Amino acid sequence: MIYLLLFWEFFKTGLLAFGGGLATVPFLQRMVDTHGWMSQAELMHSITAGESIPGPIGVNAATYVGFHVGGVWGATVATFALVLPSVIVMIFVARALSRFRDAPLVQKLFSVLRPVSLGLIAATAFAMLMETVFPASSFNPWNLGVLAVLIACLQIPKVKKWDPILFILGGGLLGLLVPFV
Amino acid sequence: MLPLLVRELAEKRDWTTEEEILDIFAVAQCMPGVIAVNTATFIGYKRHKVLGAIVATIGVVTVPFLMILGLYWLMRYAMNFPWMLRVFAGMRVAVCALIVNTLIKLVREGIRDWLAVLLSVAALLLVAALHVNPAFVVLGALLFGFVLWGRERVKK
Repeated sequence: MIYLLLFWEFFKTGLLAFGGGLATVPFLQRMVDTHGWMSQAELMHSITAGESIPGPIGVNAATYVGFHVGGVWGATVATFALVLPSVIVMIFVARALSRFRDAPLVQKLFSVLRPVSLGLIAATAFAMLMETVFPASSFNPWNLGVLAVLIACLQIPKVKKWDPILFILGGGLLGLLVPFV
Repeated sequence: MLPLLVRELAEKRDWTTEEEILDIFAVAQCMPGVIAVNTATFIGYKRHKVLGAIVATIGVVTVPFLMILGLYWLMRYAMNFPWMLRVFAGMRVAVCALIVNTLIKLVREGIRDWLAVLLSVAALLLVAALHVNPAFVVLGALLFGFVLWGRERVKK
């Protein structure tokens, strides 16, 4: 049965993909191959398109593949199965952490983890920056210019109060109006 | 995701602090699954236990879920619509600007001593230049924290 199969494949992905949404990609590649659900090219294309849509890449990809294979119910089952392990694991982690939060060991660990976490976010930002300024490994001064202007805009107190969603939609509009890429 | 989390949860609602978002983010990195979902579940649990965790998770997947369903055909054939690709490209630049901006904010507030500078630069280099899996970086940091804690205890 297709729904059971979708559930099993995405539950495995959610349970074993360490390192966030992009870590789910190899799992997706395997499952679409094993079951002949779609070609690698279409999968990669959907992941790229999914990256430009708001929402975590892993969730987007699961919904897409699920819908492709089993319609609306397929999408529902795939998404549910993907997040189920997260919910179970994180509830236990949150419970344990709230109990031991004030222990000196936990405090020490977090004092080290916090800057490391910042470094990881910086790495994500760096990867996105490279992709924006050097799309398809060629320098794109136009994107760099727009990016610089946008970051400068964000430093203006009035713009700072805008909803980030508005800001992203504005970026989309800008892309529509002026030649991009 | 991160710029939205910081803004909605720490600045607008006071449900958590920027510092705690960094903590949760680090924990979410070394757990399996999508990081944004893990973060939402964690914050949901902190506010309202299991029910909060479930509601927060449903909340964080609903919009992408609906968007993908709505945009499935567009996504499948986006290559045939150049204007669609331009909108995506423009949105991506805006997202990039937001992330850089959030990063600046977090660095200003989160980095207080030289050890912190060293740790964050090391994590950045390991992941961005050497392509180490972030989960291993977090585990390494945990080990390092453990050693620091042990040394302090021995001194006392």
